[in-house]
Amino acid sequence: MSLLSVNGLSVKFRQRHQDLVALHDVSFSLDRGERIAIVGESGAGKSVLGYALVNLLMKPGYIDAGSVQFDGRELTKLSPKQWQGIRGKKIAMIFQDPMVTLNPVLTIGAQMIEAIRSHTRIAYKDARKLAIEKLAHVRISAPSQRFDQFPHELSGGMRQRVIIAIALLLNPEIIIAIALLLNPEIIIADEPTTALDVTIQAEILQLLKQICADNGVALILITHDFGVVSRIAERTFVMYAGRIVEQGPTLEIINDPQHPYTQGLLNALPQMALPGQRLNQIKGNMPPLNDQPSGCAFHPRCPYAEERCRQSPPGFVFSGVSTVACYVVEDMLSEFSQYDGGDSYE
Amino acid sequence: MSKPLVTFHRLEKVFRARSEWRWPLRWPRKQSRHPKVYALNGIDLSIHRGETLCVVGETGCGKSTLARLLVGLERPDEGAVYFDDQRIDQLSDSQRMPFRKKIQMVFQNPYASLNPRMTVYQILREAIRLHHAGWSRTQVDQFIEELLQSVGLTKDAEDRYPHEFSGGQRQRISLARALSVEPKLIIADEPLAALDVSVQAQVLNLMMDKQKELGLTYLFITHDLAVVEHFATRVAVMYLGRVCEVADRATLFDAPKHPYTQALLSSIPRLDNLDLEPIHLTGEVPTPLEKPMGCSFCNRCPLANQRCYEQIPMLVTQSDGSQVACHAVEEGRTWK
Amino acid sequence: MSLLHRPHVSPEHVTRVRHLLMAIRGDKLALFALLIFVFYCLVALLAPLLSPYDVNSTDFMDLENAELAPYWQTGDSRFLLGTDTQGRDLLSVILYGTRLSLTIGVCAVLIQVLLGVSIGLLSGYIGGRLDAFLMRVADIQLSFSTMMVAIVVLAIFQTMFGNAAYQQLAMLMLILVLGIAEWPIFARTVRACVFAEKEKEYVDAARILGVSKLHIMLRHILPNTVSPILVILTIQIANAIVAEAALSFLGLGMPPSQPSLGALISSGFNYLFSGAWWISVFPSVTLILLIFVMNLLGDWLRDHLNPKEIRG
Repeated sequence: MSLLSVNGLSVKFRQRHQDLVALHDVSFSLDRGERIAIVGESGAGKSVLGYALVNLLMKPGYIDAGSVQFDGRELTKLSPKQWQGIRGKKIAMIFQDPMVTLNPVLTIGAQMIEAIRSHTRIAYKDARKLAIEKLAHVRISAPSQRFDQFPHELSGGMRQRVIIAIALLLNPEIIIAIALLLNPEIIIADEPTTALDVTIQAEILQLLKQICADNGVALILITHDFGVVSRIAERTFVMYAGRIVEQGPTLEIINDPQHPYTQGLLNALPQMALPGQRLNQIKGNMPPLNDQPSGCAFHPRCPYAEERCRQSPPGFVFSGVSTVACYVVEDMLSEFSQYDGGDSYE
Repeated sequence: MSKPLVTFHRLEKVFRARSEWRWPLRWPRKQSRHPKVYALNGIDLSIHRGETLCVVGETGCGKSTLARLLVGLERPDEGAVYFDDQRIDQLSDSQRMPFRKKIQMVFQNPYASLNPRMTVYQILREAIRLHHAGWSRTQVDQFIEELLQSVGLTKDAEDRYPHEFSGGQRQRISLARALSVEPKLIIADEPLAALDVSVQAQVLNLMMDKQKELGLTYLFITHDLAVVEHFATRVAVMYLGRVCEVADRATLFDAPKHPYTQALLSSIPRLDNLDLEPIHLTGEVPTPLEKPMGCSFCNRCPLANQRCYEQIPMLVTQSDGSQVACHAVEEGRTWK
Repeated sequence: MSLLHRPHVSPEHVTRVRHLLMAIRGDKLALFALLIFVFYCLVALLAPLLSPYDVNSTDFMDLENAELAPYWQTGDSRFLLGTDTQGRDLLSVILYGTRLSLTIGVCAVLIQVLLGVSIGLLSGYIGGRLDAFLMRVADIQLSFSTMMVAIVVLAIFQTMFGNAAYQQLAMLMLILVLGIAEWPIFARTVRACVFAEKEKEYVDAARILGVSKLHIMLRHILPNTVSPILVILTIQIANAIVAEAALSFLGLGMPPSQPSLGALISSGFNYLFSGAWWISVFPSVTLILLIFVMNLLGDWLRDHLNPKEIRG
C-alpha cells in the first residue's frame, strides 16, 4: 500500500460571487521512500497542492472534494489537534523563503526545541541533544555553538541587509535539520532552492536527496525548474492550471515529453535551441484563476488544439512512457495500436 | 577590432553605512564602526559594440553594482568608466543627460520597475518628453504606438496600469521604456529571474530581435548559465567583486579555466547530460565585509596554495583568447 | 505569499476607489459611519440653509428667551432643542458650531499635510544630514504637547492684542496653531513610505532616464504614499476637532459670539447642574458622535488601505 494517496483532490478559493477553482481533481500516490516532483509555472496550483496536503490552505481557500490518505488515515477530516501529531512530525515541510520560516528573534536552538517539544514530551536536555545531533547530521560546523545563535548570526552576523542576504545561504540546511527532527516519513519541499545561488543549490539538492535515501524518507518536491527535478526526483507530475497534465518517470518525461505543454516547457529552455537562435516559445500566458478556459485548459496556447479540446477536458491515457491527459496523444495511441494490430495480422 | 563601447578601468566601490548628522560633541568620543561592504574590488572589463556581454556570478558578487555604476546610480570610489572614450563616472546630472539617452536599463523585478500609479502611456511619455522635447502630441502618440507594437503589445495597452499585465508583458513595457530614447547600450539586470520558463523564452526572443533590428549592445547580468550559453557573445564571470574569467561564449563553455567557473558550470543541472556530477566546493562562503587579501576565491578553491592567499591574481590573456585571473592556471596546477 | 494568481486578481490603485467602495458595502458599521460623516459634512456646508434662525441677525440673541428647555419639555415649537444662556436657538448654534469645528479641523489638518508631506518627502528622498536635521526638529516639535503649545501661544496672543482683535482672528489662530503643532506625524509617516518607495526599481528607472529630483518626488513617490496619508488624515481631523473643543472649553478657542462645539459645551457647563442640562449635552453628543464616526472611518481605512492587501 502506498504511503500517501491523493484522490480527486479539489481546492477552491471562496469569492464573493463564484468560487475560483485552484485544483481540479488531482490524484497521485507516493510510496515509502519515493521522491517525486511536482512541476509547473506560477499559477499552476503546485503550491496550493503542497499547502492542501498538510491542511495549511490560507483563508479563502478550502478543500472542496477528494481525499488525502496517509498510511491509511484520512487527512482531510482531521481536527486541528489531530493534525498536531502529523504535521511536522510525520509530514515535514520546507518552504520557499528560509527567512520567513526562521523567526529572527529566536535562536536556532530555541526554534528547534520548540519544534521538538510541541510534538513529544521529552526533557529540555534530551531535546537539546537531539537538536545538536541533527544539526551535525546535516553537516553544520560547530553545531553546539550554532545552537545558541540567532538566524542572522550564522555567517558573520552584521545586521546589514546585504549580509542578511548572504546569511540566507546557510539557512536551508538548518531548515532541513528542523524538518528532519522527528524522523518524518514525508518531506514536502516547496521551491527549497529557488532563492539560492547555483553552487549552493547543487549542494542543498544533493544533501536533500542523500538524506531521503539514507533515512527512507519520501520527498515531494514542488518546483518550476526541470533542472532541479532531473537531479532528484524519480517520478514527475507536470501541472497546468490546477490539473496534472502529465505524470511518469522523470527521465522518460524529460527525454520524451508527451503532453504539448510539457513539450513546450522543455523546448523553451535555452539549452534546447542553438546559441543565438530564437528560442521555441509557448505563446500566451498561464490563464488566471478567474478566467479559466473551457475544456483542456491549455488549448488557447496549444499548437494542436482542436474543437473537442475546447469542449471538455481530456482523460488520462498511458502513452507507453507516461500518463498524459491529451486528446492528440490519445488519437496517436489508437492509431498506433491499429497499426500494430494490422502489423501482427500480416 | 574597433574600440570598445564601454571600458571599466580598475573600478572599486565600497558601501558604508549611511553617515548621519550627529552632534559634534559626543561622549565618549569613540569612532563608530560603520561596517563596510566591498562590492567591487578592481574591475577591468570592456564591452564591445553590438555584442552581448553576459556577467555571471552569485548573489553579492557585485554584478548589480557594476550596472548601477555604469548608469550613474552610484559613483565609484576608485577607477573610471569610459563610454565612447569619454569618462562618465564623475559627471553631474546635467552633464550626464546626453549619456542617459545612450545607456538604458531593464530591471529584474517587473512588479517594482514600473510605477503602479502611472499608465503605460504616462510611463513612456515621461521618457520621450525628456529626450525629444520638441515633439508634438501627435508625434509622441504615434511614437508610443509604434513602440508598443515593436515589443509585441497593442495600442489598447496604453491606458492600462502595470498591474493589469502579466510579468512577461511588464518586462516588454520596461523594454519599450528603455528603447524609447533610442539607446545604444541596454543593461539588463536579471530581466528573466522573476518570469516563468515559457515567458522567459518570449522575452529573450524579443531582446534578440531588437538587438538584430537596432544594432543594440547588451550588458546582460544573470545567474542563469543556461541563458548565458544561449544568448551571450562574451561572458564575464565575477566572484566577490572581481572578474575571474572573461571569454567568448564557446571558449568559456567548452574550456572553462578558472576553478570557480568550472565549479559553476558543473552545478547547472543539465537536461542534455544527466550524469554530470557537480563539483563540490568546500569552505564557508566569504562575505564582502572584508577586503580579500589574495584571490577572493582562495578559501573555497581546491587548488589554492600559499600564493593565492597573499597575492591578488591579475587577468592574463590565454592562448585561446580568454582572460583568466588565477595563479593556479598561470602555474599549471590542475585538479587531482 | 499569494495563493491567488498575482497579476490578475489583485486590484491596485485605479481600482483603489472601487475597491474601497466595494469593501464598504459589505461592512455595515463602516457604511453607517460613512453615512453619518457625510451627513455631518452636509450639515456643515448647508448650515445657513438648514438652521431655523439666522445667527447673524441682530434679533437672534434675545435674553428673554434664555435657557428655554427643549420642545418636548416646554411645548414651545420655536426652539426645537431649547435655547442657550443668551437666548439663542440651540439647534441653529449647534449647526453653525459643527460647521466651525469641522472647518477648523479640516483646515488645520490641511496645514499639517502640507508641511508634513513636503518635509517628509524632502527628508526621505534627500536623506543624509537634511533628514537627520529635519527629523530632530520633528522630535523636538512632538516633545511639546500640542495642548501646551496651543495654550501658551493663544494665551500670549490674547493678552498682547486684546480681546477685540482676538475675537476676529481666533479661527485663523486656532487653525495655525493646531496645524503647525502636529505636522511631524505626517512627516514621519511620509518619510518612512518614501524610504520604502525610493528603493524600488521604478525610481531607479526614472533616475536613469534623467527625470529631475523634484519630478521624481512629486510624480513618482508621492502618489504611492497616499494610502497612509489618507488614514492619518481622517484620525488627525478628529484629533484637531477635539483639540479645538478642548481649547474652546478652556476659553482659549472660539469666542462666545461665534461658538464652536467646544465653546458651546463650555458655556453650558456652568448650568449643567442648575437644570439647564441641554445647553451642554446636545453639543457634547454632537461632538462625541462626530469624533466616534471619524475614528471608526480611520480604523476602517487603515484596515482596507493596507498595502499588502491592495498590492496582493
